[in-house]
Amino acid sequence: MTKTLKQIFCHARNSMSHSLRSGSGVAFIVLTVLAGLALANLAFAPIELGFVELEDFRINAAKGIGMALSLATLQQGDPETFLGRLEAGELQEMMMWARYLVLDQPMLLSITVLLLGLVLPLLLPLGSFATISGDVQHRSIRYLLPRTTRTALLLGRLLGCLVLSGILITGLVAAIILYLGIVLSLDSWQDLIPWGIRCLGALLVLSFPYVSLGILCSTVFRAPMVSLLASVGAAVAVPLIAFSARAAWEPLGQLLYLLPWGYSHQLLSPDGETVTTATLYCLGHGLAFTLLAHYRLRRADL
Amino acid sequence: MAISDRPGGLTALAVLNGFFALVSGATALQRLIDGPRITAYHAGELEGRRWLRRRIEEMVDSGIDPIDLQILGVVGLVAAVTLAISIWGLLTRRKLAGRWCSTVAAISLVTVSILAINWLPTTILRGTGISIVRQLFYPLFMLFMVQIIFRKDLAR
Repeated sequence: MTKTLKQIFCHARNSMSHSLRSGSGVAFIVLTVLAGLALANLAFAPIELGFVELEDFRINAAKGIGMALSLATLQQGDPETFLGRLEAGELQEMMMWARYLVLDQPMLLSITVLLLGLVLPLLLPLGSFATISGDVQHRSIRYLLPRTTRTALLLGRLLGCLVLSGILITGLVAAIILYLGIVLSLDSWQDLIPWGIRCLGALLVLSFPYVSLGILCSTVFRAPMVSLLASVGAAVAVPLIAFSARAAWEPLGQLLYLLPWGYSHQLLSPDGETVTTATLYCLGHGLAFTLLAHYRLRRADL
Repeated sequence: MAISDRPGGLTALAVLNGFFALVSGATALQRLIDGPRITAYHAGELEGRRWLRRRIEEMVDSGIDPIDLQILGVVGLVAAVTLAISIWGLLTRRKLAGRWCSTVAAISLVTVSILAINWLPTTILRGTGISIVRQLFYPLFMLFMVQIIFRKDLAR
């Protein structure tokens, strides 16, 4: 048991070191940080440039987030009728939730984290798509397997990818919180730090299923580029297909739950029980992808 | 065909350096051209189309010193040239052209960002605060990569 654990940690360390030296790793780090900061800029710019007053921005942001949350939870399909239903007092729960994110918590941090939750699923596979398929393509996995087990290799590489993604996300959120606290100073540190830690936790939990998906695609496909295309393609295609199919037949909208798209926003819910359930779903999704990857790697003819 | 043992990260860094060389070079040239235009405007000798005149007027109103603008342009140009040389250096794994040109480029890029924060008026910098954080990220990351991760690879 100790030997297996040692091997897992050794693979994790080597995976991180290799990621920093590989082209895909460098692209992953640079793209994630630049995209994250660009999203933060997108959220901060209207306030910083003085395009809108803070209170107007809050009200519009609350409406916009309420609409997005309604769409995400499949409660409201037609955006044109949304405002009418809103004025009629429907979808109160969504509006309360949006008000919680915008009025009760630091607004700009909430908006940035919601945007990151949409973009990270497309960026995270960049860090994990070549973990297994890279070695399979170059046949170097044959030199590794006599010295280690396939399970230790898979879990070690998964751990390495998770740690690297975690460090990146932590750095990104820390930079945004520091900027909000020092430069913009719209919210106090007492508000920013606890909410920042919760947002960070939500993003870290959300990263697990998408990193696992990248690893699963990496075990299924032997060519890294095909693996990358499959993992990013799945992350994009699932919501597109679900929303299109729902127009034809309502229950097909549930296809959204093939990936955490349908419930990931609930990680920022005001209700603790909802957050716990969403966290468990995320971990379950990640575990399911990992088990599938493990099954595939154990049976693969390498 | 010979198989290269160059780490993929060096190729990626070279590509990114190329992109940042273009961006930094374009910004630096713009600043170098705008400096004399502001001086010409003060002397009442500025000629050109209406949009150009309006842009220069906005810059003059914001209180930019043309000398500061030219210093920013020169440092930005140094960054662009060293970034361009470092592309070749990284691809051929040279110590001087790869590691040290990247280091000089990184220091120049950081200097430009910091000087821009100090010198450029807030009317121009307003709304670009987090963009400056973004500008600072790449040079620091490149410095970490060439001086720590690829230190032994860039030794020729």
